[in-house]
Order: sequence, then C-alpha cells, then structure tokens
Amino acid sequence: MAKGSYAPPRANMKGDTKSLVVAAIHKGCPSSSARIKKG
Amino acid sequence: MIRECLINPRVGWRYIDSEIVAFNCENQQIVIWNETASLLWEKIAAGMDFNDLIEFLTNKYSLSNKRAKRDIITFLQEANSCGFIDYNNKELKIENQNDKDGENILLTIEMKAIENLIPFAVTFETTYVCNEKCIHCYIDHNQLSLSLSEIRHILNEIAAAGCLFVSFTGGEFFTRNDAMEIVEYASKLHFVIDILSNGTLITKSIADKLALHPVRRVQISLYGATPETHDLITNLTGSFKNTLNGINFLTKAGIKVEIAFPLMGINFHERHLVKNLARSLGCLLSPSHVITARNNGKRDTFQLRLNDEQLKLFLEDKELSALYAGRKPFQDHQFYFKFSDLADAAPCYSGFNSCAITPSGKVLPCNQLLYEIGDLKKNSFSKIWHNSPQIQYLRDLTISKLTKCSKCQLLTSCARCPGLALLEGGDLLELSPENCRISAINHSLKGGENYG
Repeated sequence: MAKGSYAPPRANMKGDTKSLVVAAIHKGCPSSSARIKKG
Repeated sequence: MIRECLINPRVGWRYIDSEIVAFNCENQQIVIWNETASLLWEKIAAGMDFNDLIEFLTNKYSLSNKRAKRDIITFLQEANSCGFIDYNNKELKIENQNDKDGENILLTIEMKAIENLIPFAVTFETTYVCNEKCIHCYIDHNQLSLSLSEIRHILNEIAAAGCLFVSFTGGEFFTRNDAMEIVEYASKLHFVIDILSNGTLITKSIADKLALHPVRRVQISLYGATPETHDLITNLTGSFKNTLNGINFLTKAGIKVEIAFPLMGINFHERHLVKNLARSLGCLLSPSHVITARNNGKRDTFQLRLNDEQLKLFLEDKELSALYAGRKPFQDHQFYFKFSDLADAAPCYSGFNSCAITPSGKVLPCNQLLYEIGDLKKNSFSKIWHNSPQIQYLRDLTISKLTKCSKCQLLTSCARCPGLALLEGGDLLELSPENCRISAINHSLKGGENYG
C-alpha cells in the first residue's frame, strides 16, 4: 500500500461461529468432514 | 501504559489476498482485518512492541505520531474486545455476535478462496491405523502412514498455499505417538485446527495440551446412547465409556466438542437419546444419514444404511435433519448464485478451495472423492494444486456434463456427491445411486410423485 492510501486499522468483518459444525468450514467440499470414518 | 501486545495462542490466522483472516478458537469468533490491521497483526506476531508499532505506522503512511498512536490503540482495543490479543489486560471481554455474521464471513472467505483457487481448508488423513474396528468404516487400515518429518513438510507447503483450516483425521489420529507434535507444529504455522477422533485415547493431559493451541473443534464419533449399541458398532468393549471420558476431558479443558453421529439401522432407535446426550454434554451434534461403500469398492456397508422408512422418519424430523452438516442440495449452494443457469456451475467445489491428503501422501479433491490428483512423494503441493491435469479436469466440469443428473427433475433438490457417484456408480459423471434414493424420498415427502 502506497503512502497516502492509509485506512485506519480495523476489522472489515467480524462474527461468531459457535453454532456452526465442522462441515460449515468445508462448504467447498462439505462431505469431507461429514463422512464419518472412525473405526 | 501499554508495553506489549500478545496474540492469543488460540488464534490461527492466514493471509487471504491482502487481508488476514483470524479465528479465535477460544470463543469461536472470526475476523477479517483490513490491510493496515493485517500489517500491524504481522508485526505484533513478530514481537514488535507498542512503541515500535507507532514508529512503523508513522513511517509507512507518513502519519503524525499522535494519529498513529490513536489508531493503534483503537485497533488494539477492538482486537482485545473479542479476545484476539491481550495487552495489559487479563480480562478478555467476549462480544456477543450474531451467529449469522460468522456464517457470512465464512462464505465470503470460501468464495474468495474459490475465485483465487486457494486451498483454505484441507482434510489431512494422518494415519489409517485405528483402535476401533467399526462395522461401517470405509478405510483400508493397511496403508502406511507419512512420517512426522513428511507431515511437517506438507504442512509447510499447504500453509504457503494459503490453507487456514486443517482437519487432522484418520483412522484414529491419536494412535500416532507424535499426534501432539503434529498439533504443535501446525500451531506454529498458525493453522486453525480441527481434529476428528473417536475420543477413546484422549486423556486429561492431551486435552489440556490441546487447549494451548488454536484447536477450533474436536469432532468425536458417537454411535449410540448406550454402551451396548456403541460398542457393538465399534467392535471395542469399553469404547462408549472411554469416548465419553474423552469428551469430558476436552470440554473441561475448554475445547469445543462436536459429536458426529452416523445413523444406521441398528442405532436409529437411539437417535433422540443421542441428541439429549450431546446436549447434556454441552456438545454440538452432527448427525449423518450417509453411509458409504468401502474405499476398496466393497458394498457390504449398504446393509447398514437406514431403510426407506427410517430415512423418511429422519428427513421428516426437522430438528434432527436440520443438524446434518454434509453436502447440501444444489439449490442451497450459494456458490451458484452468480450463475444464471445452474448447469454452468461445477458439480462440486472440492479441488477449488479445499482438498484432502491421505496417509500415503496422495492428494484428493476430497476424502470422499477418490480421484487422485497428485502424489506428494513425487511432486510439491503447489505443483499438484496448480498444474495437475486431473484437478484441471475437475475444475472444468459443469453440471451440464453430468450424463443423467443434468436432465433430472430432482436436480435442484439433490445433494449429488461426485465421490459417491464414482465409488458407488463407477463413473464421475453418472448417477450417485444413494443420492438418488435420498432425493426421491425427500421429493415424496414434499408431495411429489414417486421416483423410487
């Protein structure tokens, strides 16, 4: 960023993900986490 | 007086484009810093103190010392208020945020990662060894596992490629004697870490150590609400008790636990008990009605699936089925909104912003899509991700190329998985028979004609 194009430091976006399950992170490949494999 | 700023050790972060995405595993908050904040964040991570931050900002943007100081304090207060950093303040205030915001931020990142082909979420199968012998498990337990040094090297590579979220899984991750060393190394590289485990080998000591790192979730597989049902499925006496012990150690250590609950004919009757158990344990519940064929192609697992009547009951149970976090119907994929015609969208976006790595170092678009796009023992991750002809082929696919599905009336409400189509139908472009069954039952529940 060049001098003169200064923007004060801050969050562009901020939010909570408590209720989202693992697969919500992997929407591009949602089944990845949903495929239950333990055993 | 502010002397030093410390990033919360439970925060993972990565640049995506020119901005840092940071995730606080302690309170599950996510933030995207703007460019100036991202530069400051990097300096803080490198150990720069408050006075040097002022000097840095002053010089970089020709600001007055007063302005730089004021802006940095405002930034630090913002970061501190949601627990991302701590400066001269031991009380981390947690802001109440709207859940929807978090989902929107994730979607924003996912879209950006798709557009820029950044593998921001990687599923890392570190071993196929497991202490349980689950009746429905699809993996080949005989494959050799990567060494610790090989895993470290791959973690370096995927971090450089822009991966933020890494999921360690198996087999059972904690059968590896070096599991904590893998977590510690991933932590040094600022990954946000998920671990998929059966929980039986998680001790208090392990849970307490995990709580020192950016571990977002540990997903624990639970197959019933009683030892009789759970242990019958795992083929391991005492596994129910040990899994619950593992869950309790994790929650007490402050690690968020998510219970994965694969629904089968033999545990279906306990579904409500499992839901209540998850609630009483303070865990999220993630049920799944999709049981796949085994990776070697054997289909004996099909007999374990919910029958049509059970599947109907599950899909009709809005409270439970809404918790299913797997693949969504095409109509729910917000990725497609930019396409005027659904036929022009990709059938799946694995390989665009996510991929999987197997214990032998093979790269797959997804651990459910057994279509090898490269071998990390032969090529670098970067070369595979950007130059593999196989991944290029997948990225060029569109729904219009799906032989039968593109013409199906149930397409928009179908959650067709290319991995299931390949594994169970034998062709990437052909039908996925289990998705057809689920879609037909869903359709009949909505009053449509019978597609069975």
